[in-house]
Amino acid sequence: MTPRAGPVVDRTVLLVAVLVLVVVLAVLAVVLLTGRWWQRRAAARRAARIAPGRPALVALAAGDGDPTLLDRLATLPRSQWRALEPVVVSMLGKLRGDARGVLVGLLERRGAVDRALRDARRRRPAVRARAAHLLGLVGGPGATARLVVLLADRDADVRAVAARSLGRLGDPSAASPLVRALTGTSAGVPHQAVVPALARIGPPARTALLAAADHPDPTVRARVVEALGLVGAVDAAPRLVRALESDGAADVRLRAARALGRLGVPAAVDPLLAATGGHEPTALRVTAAQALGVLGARRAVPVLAGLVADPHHWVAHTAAAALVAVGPDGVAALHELGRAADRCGVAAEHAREALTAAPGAGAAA
Amino acid sequence: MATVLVADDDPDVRDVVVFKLEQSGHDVLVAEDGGAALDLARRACPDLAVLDVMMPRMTGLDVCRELRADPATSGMPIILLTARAQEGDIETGFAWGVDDYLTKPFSPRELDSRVRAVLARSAR
Repeated sequence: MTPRAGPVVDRTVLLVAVLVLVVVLAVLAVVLLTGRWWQRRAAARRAARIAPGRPALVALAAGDGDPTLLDRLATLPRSQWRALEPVVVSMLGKLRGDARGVLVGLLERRGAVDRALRDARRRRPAVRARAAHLLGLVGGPGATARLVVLLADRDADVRAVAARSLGRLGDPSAASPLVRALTGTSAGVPHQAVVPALARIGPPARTALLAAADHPDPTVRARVVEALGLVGAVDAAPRLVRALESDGAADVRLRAARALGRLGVPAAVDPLLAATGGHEPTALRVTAAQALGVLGARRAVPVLAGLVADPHHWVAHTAAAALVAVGPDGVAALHELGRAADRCGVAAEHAREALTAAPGAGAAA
Repeated sequence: MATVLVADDDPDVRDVVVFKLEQSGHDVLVAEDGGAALDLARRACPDLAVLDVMMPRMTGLDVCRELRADPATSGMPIILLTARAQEGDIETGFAWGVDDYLTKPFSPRELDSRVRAVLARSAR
């Protein structure tokens, strides 16, 4: 047998290929290093423009009584102010009380709020998103209306920022547009932005949410039901009980159980106890047990104690944790389970685990 | 006046807190992360520590636990400054011996009042 000859590669081609590779790598390295240098230079220039105004800004935010601070900042050269304004906006989100008030006053004096109202119509999405963020922090006349318009913006990020900003403002008039965004009748806004925004508006969002509670899409109903719990819509409890007992979608029932736990209405105890029944889906039983714990329902202690011996680990574990959440009666029931004759049983283990995990509960009873 | 340790990785918050406390006449020690805060607290034994919860290297809650476990710093009053208004954080903080807490967004004036109150309590 003659050995097979391998492929023949021309040495010149190989050399050229290696050379090309080296050149490409060198160019990439130069581009990378130049990019980094450019970023550092831009950051240094920005820091240099911020530096003259920052100490005065910190002093103003901290409540220094110097009456000239505001004037000094309000008359900073335009290039310095443009660099400092994002710092002011960033601080605004971290402060409250007088400190926040003076920063809002400063932004108003520099015309930042009027500019944001104008910028909300600009072509670049990043500019519109920044404007929406500022309007949410500062508020003022026209802010809610402009943000509601941005809920239907062609850019998804701008829509999400607008929803969060409306939540921050907490203006009840934004509840209906936000619910419309949740139910998908306007351009898509992530529900992760809309639901917390509705929660910040609170009970005034109740009417708009209840109107959407019978939406044909179960995903929408589930979000609406969850939001009803988050806004604290106590008078929506009967509607939530109905959803828990008879909605055709498992996710809606589960979220209704969670919402009822959050609302803490006594009328929810019996439907939640029924939802822990062995014939119900495991996820619903777990959520209902959790909700009974959040609710602090002492009447639920015997049922929850029984669930600690449930064959489903998840149900038993949650029931034990819920007993701790119920309070002294629940903790006493757990101690009893832990002292049971069958100390090696699963229920005793869950009980001991819950008591160990709960701060202070181990020593109780 | 007292020596106060301020630990926060956010320069905006840190600078405002430091300015407010210095304005009230305190000597302020500054740390930018949890590890530095713990080192500084052990070395300088300040009269009070204001700790942010979410910090690099070590959280404020971890710093608190370490300080409480060390006999030299176990009695140091601690105020937690946290962006997370979660009951869990607050509960854990109190379980580890935090003296008071403030949630962000915060009021510098309120922080100053709480620092005074905690210092007054610890002086008794």
